[in-house]
Order: sequence, then C-alpha cells, then structure tokens
Amino acid sequence: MALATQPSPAADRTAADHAPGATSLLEPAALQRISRMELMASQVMDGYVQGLHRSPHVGFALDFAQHRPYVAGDDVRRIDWRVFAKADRYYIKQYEVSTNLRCQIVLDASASMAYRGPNDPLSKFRFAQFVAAALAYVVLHQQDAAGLVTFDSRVRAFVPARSTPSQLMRLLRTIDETPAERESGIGPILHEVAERIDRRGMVVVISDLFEDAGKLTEAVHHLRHKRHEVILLQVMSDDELTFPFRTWSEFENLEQAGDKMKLDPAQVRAGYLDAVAKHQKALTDGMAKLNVSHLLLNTSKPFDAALATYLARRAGRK
Amino acid sequence: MSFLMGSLAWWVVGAAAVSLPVLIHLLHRQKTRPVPWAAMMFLRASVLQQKHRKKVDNWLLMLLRLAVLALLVFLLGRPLLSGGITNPLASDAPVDIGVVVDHSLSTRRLAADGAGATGPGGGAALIGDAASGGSAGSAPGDSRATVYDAAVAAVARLADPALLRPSDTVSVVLAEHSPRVLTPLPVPRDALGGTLDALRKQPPGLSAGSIPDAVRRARELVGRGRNTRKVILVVSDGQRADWQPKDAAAWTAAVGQRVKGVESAVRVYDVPVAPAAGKPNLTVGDLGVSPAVVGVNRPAAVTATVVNTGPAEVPATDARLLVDGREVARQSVAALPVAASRTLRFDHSFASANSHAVEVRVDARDALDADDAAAASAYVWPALPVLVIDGQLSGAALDASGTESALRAFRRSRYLTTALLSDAAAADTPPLAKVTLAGVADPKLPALELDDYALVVVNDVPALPAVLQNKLLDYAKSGHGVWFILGRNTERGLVRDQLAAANLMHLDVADQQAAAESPVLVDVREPQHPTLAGFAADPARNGLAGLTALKWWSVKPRDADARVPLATATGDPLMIDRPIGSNGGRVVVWTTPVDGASGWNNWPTVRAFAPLVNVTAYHLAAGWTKGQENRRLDSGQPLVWTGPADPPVAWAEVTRPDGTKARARPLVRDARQIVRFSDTYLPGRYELRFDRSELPPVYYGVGIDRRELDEAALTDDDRAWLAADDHKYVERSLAPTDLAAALGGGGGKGVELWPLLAGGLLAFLLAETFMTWRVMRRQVGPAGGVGAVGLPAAV
Repeated sequence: MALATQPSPAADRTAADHAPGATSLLEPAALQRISRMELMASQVMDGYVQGLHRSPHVGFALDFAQHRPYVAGDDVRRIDWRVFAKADRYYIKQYEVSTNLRCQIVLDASASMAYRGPNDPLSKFRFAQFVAAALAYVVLHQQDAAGLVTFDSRVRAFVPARSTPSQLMRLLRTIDETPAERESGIGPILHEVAERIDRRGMVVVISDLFEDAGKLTEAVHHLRHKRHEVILLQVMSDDELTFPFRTWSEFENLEQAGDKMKLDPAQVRAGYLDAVAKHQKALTDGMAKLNVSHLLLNTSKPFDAALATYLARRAGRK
Repeated sequence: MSFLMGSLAWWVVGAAAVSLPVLIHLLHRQKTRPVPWAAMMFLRASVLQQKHRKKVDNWLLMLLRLAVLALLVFLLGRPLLSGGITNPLASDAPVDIGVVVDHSLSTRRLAADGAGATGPGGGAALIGDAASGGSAGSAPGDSRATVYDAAVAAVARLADPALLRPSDTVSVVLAEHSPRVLTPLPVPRDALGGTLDALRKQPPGLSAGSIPDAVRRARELVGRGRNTRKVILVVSDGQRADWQPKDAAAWTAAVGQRVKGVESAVRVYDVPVAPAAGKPNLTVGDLGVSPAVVGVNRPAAVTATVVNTGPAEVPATDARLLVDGREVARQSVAALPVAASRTLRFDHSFASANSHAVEVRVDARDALDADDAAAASAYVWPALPVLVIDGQLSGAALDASGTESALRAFRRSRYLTTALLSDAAAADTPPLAKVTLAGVADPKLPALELDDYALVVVNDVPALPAVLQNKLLDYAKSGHGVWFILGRNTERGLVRDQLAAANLMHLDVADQQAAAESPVLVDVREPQHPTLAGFAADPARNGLAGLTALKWWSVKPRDADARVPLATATGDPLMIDRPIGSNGGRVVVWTTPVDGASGWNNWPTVRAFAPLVNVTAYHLAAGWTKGQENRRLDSGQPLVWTGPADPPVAWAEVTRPDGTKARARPLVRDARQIVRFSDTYLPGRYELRFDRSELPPVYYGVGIDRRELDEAALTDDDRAWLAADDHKYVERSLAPTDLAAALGGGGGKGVELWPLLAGGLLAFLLAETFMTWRVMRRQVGPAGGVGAVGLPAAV
C-alpha cells in the first residue's frame, strides 16, 4: 500500500507526529488488536443484513459472494454444512448484500485538534487520525461500508460510505492528507452530515467537542432523529483534563490568532477544571438521553487500547 | 508609646520588609511564557466566573500578609507603653530581681553605724586565715560588722513578705574578680531563706570586684525569669574602682544598648552601704627579701613598708615576721600619723634551703584587716657547685680530699677561689659555692660530669682542654654558665679560634695585649646589668669606682647579642656577656685576670671583688636556678615555676590562701618543665606541691589588689554619669530601707508590649494561613483533574 507522503498539519509540532504515509496510520500491532473485534451495531440496520448484523429480512434470496470462517456469535443456521462435510470446518456463506453496515466517520480537522501537550506522544489530531484509520480498517475488513467526513467550520471532504476494496486506501489517503487548521463548528457540520447521509447507519464523530454542549446535543439529536447510531469519540489531551500549569503563562488560542490570555494558572485552575467538568457532564447527560455512546480518549494513552476496550464493551452489550 | 529599637535605620528596614509582598507580586507578574492552547472556552469561562471572588480574596490575603509583616516590624521595634494611669500593665506586675552583692576586698572594711548591719558581724579573719574564718561565727550586733555584713543585711530585707509578691523571684550574684553566681536559677520568695544563709556563710571577699561584670551576669540571670519586669539591685560600698564609672564599654556590655529617652527593659538601682568613715587603717606592703641570693644560715633582711592609709592617726602596734606560718620575729611600730609610712626591717637567717613563705603582719584593729599583712616567698639557695679549671694549677693533680689542700698547692688562683667561697661582706658565713678545682691536664678531668655543676670557670688557661672543646656549647645550651677569664697564660688561639670554634663567642683580637702606662679606670657601661645592678643599688658595697686596669686582652665581640657591661675608659671590653640557647645558659668573658699577682689590675684587692665574683657566678648559674627567685606577685599575676626535666612531674597542686586546691599540669619546653597557674586573685600565700616527693614545696606570696585600698567612693559626678539620660545605666540610688520604690507597682514606668503584640501576630498568622489555604484550595482544585469529579474517566 504505497501512498504518497503528505505534509503534516501545520500545528503538529514534532517529526514523530508526521506520518510518512497513509499506511503509517495502520500500525500492525494496533490493527491486530482491534481487528479481533467485530464492530457490533447494536441497532437493527436498515437493508439486508447478514452475518453479524441482525436483519428482519431473514430468508431473502441473495447472491453468494464468498465463504468465510465461522466465528463465535454467528448464527449457526448460516453455516454451510456442505463445506463442513468436505473440509470438516465451519464456514459461513456470505452474500453481496451482507455489507449493510454503513459507517460514516466524521473527523474534526480544526486547529484546536492540533494541540499537543509537552508529555503527549501525539497531537490530538494525529491521535484522531489514527483512530479514524483504525475504525475504517476494521469496518471495511468486516465487509461493511465506511465513509469519511472531515471538517473544520465547514465540510472539507465528504467520502460516501462504500465497501469496495479500494475504499480503505481512499479513506486513508483523505485522512492523512487533511491538515488541522481553522476554526471548528461541529454543530452545523453534524446537521449537514445528518442531511447528507441518505441511508441510516452508524456515525462516528471524532473530535475534541469544544462546542457548546447544548448545541452539540441538538446536532446529535438531529442525527438520531435520522435514525443513525451515533458514537462520539472525544479526543482530549491530558493537559486539557488536568491543567498542570503553574507559572504565569500567556495562553494563545490555536484557532484564532491574536486571541491571548495572560494569567496565573494556579489562580484559574480550579475554575477551569470546574468548567471542563460541567461541559463533560452536560455532554454525558445529553448523550445518555439520546442513547448515544460518548467515549473520552486521552491522548497520553495508547489509542488502540482505548478503542479495543470500547469495542469489547460494545460486544458485551450486544 | 516609645520604641527600644526606634532607630531610623530600623524603620527603613521595616518599611522595606513590609513592601516585600507587593514587590514579589509585581515581579512575579512580569514573567510569562506563551502556551498555544485549544481549550480556550473553558479558560475564558473560569476567568469570568472567578474573577471577582478571587480579587477580593487576593486583596484580603495581601493585606493580611502586609499586616503580619508590619506587626512583626512593630514588635521587633520593642514598643514600650509608658504612663501610669493609661498603662494597665504597670500597676503591680511581678518582678524578677537580680541582686549584685559586692564581695570585693574593700567590703571587709568596717561598716558605718546603721548601715543596715543587723546581720552577723565579724569578717576579722586575716589573709592567711581566710579559709577558717568567715563572718558566720560573729555575734549579731558586733560593732565590727563589715560592709559585706551590712550588704547581706540589706538583701535580707527582701525576705519581707510585704516587699515581695509571691511570684517575684530573686537571683544573687557576688561581685568578685569574676562574678560568682549564688543562684543559678531564680529563687522564689519562699525559698529566699536558703539563699540568705548561703550569703551569710560566705567568707569575706579577698579579690578585686567588678560591678559592671556582675550586673551583666545578673542581667543574664533575671532574663531567665518569667516576669515581664526586671530589676537589678547593686548592694555595694560604692568604691569607685569597682564601679568603673565613665567606662561606657563596660556598662554597655553590662546593661545592654540603651537608647536615650527609652525606658530600659532591665532597670539597675544602686543600694549603697557606706563603710565607716574616720576609722584608722594600716597597710603593709612592698615586702622584700634581700639579698637577691639568700643562702642557708646566711643573714637576710625582710623589709616591708607600713603606711597609714586611714584618715586618723594609728596608735603604736606590733609587727610580726612569720616564716612558713611561724612567728620568728616581732617589733613594735610607733604611732603613725596620717599618710605617714615606715619601713620595717627584720633580720633573719633561714636555716634550711629551698622555698619559704614570708609574711609581715601588723596587729592593728583598723578599718580593713586584709591589708594588715603582706606575703612573699624567699628562696634559700643550697651551695652552687662550681667547677674551676685553672691554668695556674698546671701540674697539680685534682685533689679529691677537697679545697684546702688544693689551695695549698698553688697561690695565684687563691683570690678567685676565696672570693667564690666567701662573700666578703660576711667572711665567716658558710659559702654559697661548692668549688671543685681541676688543672688543665688533670687526668680525671675527662671523667667529670659537667652537668653536675652549675657553672664552669675556665681561668687563665693557655688553651681549651680537648675534652671540653666539644662539650661546652651543649653544656651552656642546657642552661649552664661558662666563665672565661683571660690572663697572661692565655694563648691567642684560645681567644681568637677556640671560642669561635666552640661557638661560644666570636672575638676580634688585637695583635698585642693592651697595656696602659698608668692604671685606667673601669667604665661601668651598663649599670643595670645583673652583675652590676647590686653595686648601683647598694652604695655601701659599691667598690666598682675603685677598679682599675693596667693590662688586658684587647678584643671586640662580633656577636650581635653580646653585651659589654664593663669596659676600660679607653673603650676595650673588660666583661663580655652573651646568652646561649633558650634555657638561660650564658658565657661571660673577663679580659683581665684575677690572680692579683700578675700586675694586670687591682681587682682582687678592692672591696667589691668578692661580691662581683659571686654575683657573676650567680648570674652564670641563673639558667640552672631559673624559676627559684624570690617571689612576690601582684594580684592576678600568674605564678610560674620552672624546673629541670628530671624528675618528670605529672601534676602540681596549688593550695590557695583560702585553702582551696587546684591542680596544674606542667608543660615541657626546651627540656625544662613549666608550671603556670593564673588564678591568683586571692592575696596571701600560695603553696605549690608536686607529685614527686624529691621536689620540695614552693611558696609564692601574692599581694592584695592595690585598687581595693583606694578609698575613693563614687562621686556625685560619677553617679550623674551613671544615671545620665543618654544611657541610664543606673536609675538612681536607693536606701536599703527604700527597696519598695524599685520593686513596687509605682516603679514600672514603661511596659513592653511584645506579649500582646505577639498574640496579635499569632492571630494574624492564623488568619493568613486560613486564607492561604482557602485560596490555594480554590486555585489548585481537585488533584486528579476532571477524572476525579465522578465523570467518565478518560481512557
């Protein structure tokens, strides 16, 4: 998978942060851990679903596509007994229309995502890129359709969900080529995404969610109204969660040049943490009401472990 | 309101300290570092939310910190609240009282009638009886009550329950040469009886006293008390020497730095106890033993001066001479008018060698007993062993049977030997020297042990015997004397080469011996030289004026340390004296002989000859006998004993006049042992005994501190200086019956406010701590960030 190396986002500050290409987004070790999971859709999907995705349309005639090995959780009724008789192994028959999960990954590429704390291995955006790539890989690997939306204050790229083999490369290239810049406006973007996705499916939002919790909830509500399953993956730096600064500092807004605040961090720390906590609580409460998964990812921890944990939790809930 | 530390510099420092928080705050603001930041929405929200409340808290905190510093500066400035009615603390606060009791020698004087002497009298013990004396045995009401007794009686008034409050404390210091503390811890009123008993049992003082030193010690003691008011009472006879008026350094050290117009923390009151006026007083002093070298059973004279130092005539009395504590002579002293003096002379022969204590005492019942005696010690010499190597004795064998036969064997050296064997002033007395004669070629000469002799006389020899050539320098360096007498037998090689080769003396020699046509008078160039001083001091024995010389060796000494006490009128040295080494060894060269018959000079025929020979011999033996001189020390002057390195002394025990003993360890320096003892402030006889029984005891006499005899009391001018507003070392004088004025409630004119302020400071500090905690808590927030507030933890 030789992809052209793209310049890294302007705000990403170290060489380690700069991916040499799209393939660097898929580290073998991380993929190995994640790909053991199947992305489970907890809702009944629209369309024809086979295999993992339960469908009300059982017994509908389908075009055979391929066999694949049986894994725990598959409906035993779908085991191809003929193959079993020949090969003494369990195989599932798969058909063309079994790729019915349509996962749209919405990646925040605003300048605020470019933050990288002194102790963070990756910037928030690089972290988000890895998460998006991993998700795309997993979704496509299980023959489902994956799409991508990158945005700042407007939609920067919109790749419709597909399950074709070339889709992964396209998604990875788009993810990797996207720099983190400009202001974010996640609320309007989600409204727009809700309007532009015609078939219901899964929408995974990867962002720091620095947006008014009310507006955000409203936007997510719109998506839910369109009967999408929504997963909010909130990426935050450890610094943003603990505010460890001690000396007098001048905080410069990453999204707005010239917006600076000179203050004593010790004085505002308590208030800051209070504001973060309130925001998070409002988000969590709002998302819980909408039955939306909200996962906070800390950039100081490995993204694959976080994702694997989440997927395992989803599998358990099924 | 006033301040004990109210200088301008202090307030400048204080203002700087108070402005410190503001400065730190401003400086702290200046340094910022840029941080690119994403979560500005939360930052903006927190700043808006907390701005107002923080502002108030921070201002409050800043004010509290400023107040703490200002209060600290104020407190360290030691504010003093003055004024009677408005001062709630001045009413009847308990007092820590330091009592300085003058225990100097002058307090042995009789007290004036009614000077508070209701306690036991006495104090009549003489110097030597100090240990057994004391005032404890005297009957109350004795008319011979001393100043010290009166002082103790004044202190005893403090035991009056009406005078002291239950929480008052008393500390007592005796003003002696160095202050002596009777009560290491402040004594409460109820336990004062024991302290008074201890005071009464003190033997009378013998040393000088320093009031400022004692006040300084008392100030340290009252500082240990818990009461806020501190008072020091100085009960003394007001002797000027003890009080050291006009000595600002001593008094500043005593009472601390005083600031004009500021009430001192510790106030000092003078409680004078007057000595009896008009009482006669005799003082014995200037005790001396002559001659300088005293031999066994040889006549010696003990002289002392008796002075009437009182204001009245002293009637006739007896004076006694005590040797080693036993009375050996007595004579009467006629009545002495005011300021008159008389020299007493006791003739006495000491029957045994070594050290003897000598004391002259007058039996006077006068104002001060301690100066009625004077003490010294006399060292009685055993005979000095002298080896005479005589060039005129050539051919004669060393006669083991003694001097008599040797004298028969030759004629020329008779003069020298005779002079050595007998002081011409008293020809029938036992000799001071024990002479061994030897010829140059004597076969027994090499076997002689030079160290057995105090000095070696090399008389008119042609050349140094080979056996002596290499020995004489070491012999002289170890503290012995070598005496070369040049004569007609002497060869030039001895004078020019051998003396230099032996490193004893370097001389330039003229080609020929100098000769005068007519006798040349001898020029005494150094009348104070030890060999000649006696002749200058005693005109009766001064025969030096008649000395003449006709012929002599014309030499010039080249050694820088060589002295020429005697020379011819033409300038040629007749006597050259040079010290050798550091142990008192020396070499003396006479450039003209003593044989009388040679016609070189007239010396053996003059009266001064025998004394001159003897004194020269003693001078040369000074290293051998170093440290054995007659001893009369002044108070405080250290006693020093030196002796040969053998036998080694482990310790020496000093018995003081009051019977107390102390041990001193000898130092060994240049092969001699040195014992030094500095605590000689008590007058009287000091006895030095050694752990080696072969060393006889040595006595020293220490005189009284003459300053204590000074009758001068503090003048009005002195008292005005002590109480001057500039420093106020002493508040004022109080009568012993008026102590309440110092201790009662009315005395407190100013009270330090530090206890109150310290409480306030503590309260401010607590408030500051609380505020800091409050602000810090708000500033820092939860320890773990948002994860700790119960929200879904970041993964």
